[in-house]
Amino acid sequence: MTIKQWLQEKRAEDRQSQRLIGILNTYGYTRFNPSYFESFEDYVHCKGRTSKLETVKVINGMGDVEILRPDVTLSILKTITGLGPLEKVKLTYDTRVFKLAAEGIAESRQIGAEYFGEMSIDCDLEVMGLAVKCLKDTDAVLVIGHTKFITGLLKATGLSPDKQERLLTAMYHKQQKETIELLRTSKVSEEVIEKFKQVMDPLQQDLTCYRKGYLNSEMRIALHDMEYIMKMLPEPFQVDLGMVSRFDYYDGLIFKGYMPKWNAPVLRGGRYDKLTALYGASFPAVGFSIAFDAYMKGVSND
Amino acid sequence: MIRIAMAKGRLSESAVAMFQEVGLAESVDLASRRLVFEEDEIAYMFLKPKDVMTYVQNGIADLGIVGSDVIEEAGYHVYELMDLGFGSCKFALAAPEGRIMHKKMRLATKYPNVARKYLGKTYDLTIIPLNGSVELAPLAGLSDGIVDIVETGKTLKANRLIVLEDLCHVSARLICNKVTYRIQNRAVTELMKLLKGAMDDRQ
Repeated sequence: MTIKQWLQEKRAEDRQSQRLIGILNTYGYTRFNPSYFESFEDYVHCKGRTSKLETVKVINGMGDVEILRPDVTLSILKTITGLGPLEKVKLTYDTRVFKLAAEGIAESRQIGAEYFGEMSIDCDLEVMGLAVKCLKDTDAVLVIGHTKFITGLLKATGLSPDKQERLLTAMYHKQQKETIELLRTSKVSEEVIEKFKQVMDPLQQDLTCYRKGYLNSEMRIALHDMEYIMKMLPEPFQVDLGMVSRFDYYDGLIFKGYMPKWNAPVLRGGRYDKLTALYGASFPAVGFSIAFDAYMKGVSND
Repeated sequence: MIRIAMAKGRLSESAVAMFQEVGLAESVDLASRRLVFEEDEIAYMFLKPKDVMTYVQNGIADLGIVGSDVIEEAGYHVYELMDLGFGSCKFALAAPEGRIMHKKMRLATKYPNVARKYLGKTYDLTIIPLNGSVELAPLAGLSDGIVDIVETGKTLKANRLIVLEDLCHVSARLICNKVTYRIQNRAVTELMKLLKGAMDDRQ
C-alpha cells in the first residue's frame, strides 16, 4: 500500500464514521467516552458479550485483575446507574475494543447507540430505524427476530432446562432434523412440534403463517411486536422468528445486519432489559453496535 | 453466482444425481478430474469432506453437501438447512464379540469429538485418534472398542466386532454459510424448493 492509498483509506473511514455519528447525533444521542479498563470480576458477573478467556487482562497497582474493555455496554451501564434515578438517556460511542485472538491482542473499532429508560415498541422502532439508516445505501441486509418467540416455544415444550438448552443450541444452528427428533423422543405434543417445524423451515418465513396460532403470552407479544415493526419500518428487512442470539441477556426484539463481503454480522442489536438488572437498578435498554472495520470492508469498492 | 461445495466420493455422486433430476448440474462430469464446474450462475466445487466445512464456514463456498458425520465432528459453524435423505448410515460403538466393557474405556476412532459427545458422560474415556482401519485397533490391543460409521456392518462382521450401541443416524445434509443465508436468501430458498421437489418425487 502506498501512502496515497493509505490516506485515501483514512479519509474514507472519516467520511463514513462522520456519517454514522451524524445520524445518531441528529436523533439526540450524546457522545459517551468509555473507560479503557473494567473490573474483571464485574465483567464476568455481568455475563459480558466476550468470553472471559478472550478478555485482555491487566493487573493494577493493588494486584486486582482488570481487563481492557471488550465492549462498551458495561462502562455505560456503570456510569449511568451511578447517577441516581434514571431518566431517558440516549448515548452513542465511537471507540476501540480489545479481545485476545490467536494472533495476539485484536483491536477493533465499534460505533453504536444505546437508548435507556424507555420500554415501548416505539423506542425499539426508533433504534431499529437508526440501524436501518446507518446501513442505508450499502448492500446490507437487516434481519429481525424476537427472543420472546423462542422463549415461548421452549416454555410450551414443558421440558427440563437442560433439554431446553439442547433445543436452543440445535435451533441456533438451524438443525431442523435434530430439533424435531429431540422433541419427538421427549414426547412433546404434535401441536408444539408443528410450531417448531414452522419457525425453523427456511421456506416458511412469511409471518402470515404464524398468525394461525400462538401457544402462550410470550409468543403472542413477539408476534404483536413483529407485526407492528413490519408495518412501521420503512425499509425492507428479513423476518426470522427462529433467530437465536448467543447472548442470553437479550429480551425482546433482536436484529443483525449482514454485508456480502464480511463473514459475520456487521451490526448487532436488540433489547436487553435483563442485563441492567444485574446492576441492581433494573431499567429498560435497547441498542446496537456496528463493527466499523467490517462495515468499511463492506462499503469499499474492491 | 452461488458456489456449492460437494464432498467428493459417493456422496457427490448421489448429490449430482439429485441436482440433475431437477435440471441442474448437467455439465458436471464426475469422471473427469476437474474440480470446478460452472453452469447457470452456479459453481460446483468438489472437495474432501472436511474441506467442504472449511470452505462453507469461511464463505468461499455458499452452500455445501456433506455427511452429518463430518458436521458433528467439525462442530457447527454453519447452518444446516436440509436432510437430503441419501448417504444414510449411523455412528456406533463397537467392540470384539464377547469382550466385557468397563466404565474406563480406551476408544479408537476417527471421530474423537463425536465419541466424547455421545459417550463422554457414561464412560471414562481415553480417546485414541486414528486415521483409518479403525476396526483393527481392538483386535491389535490398541483399544477396547471403537466408534465409527456403520453402513452395512460387513466390515465389523469380517473383523468379528459387534455393535454395542447406536449413537446417532448419519445422512447427507445441505449446509449454508451464515452470511450467505441472509444475503442470498432468495437464491438459497429457491434451490431448497427444487431439492425438496426432487426428494418428494423420489418418495
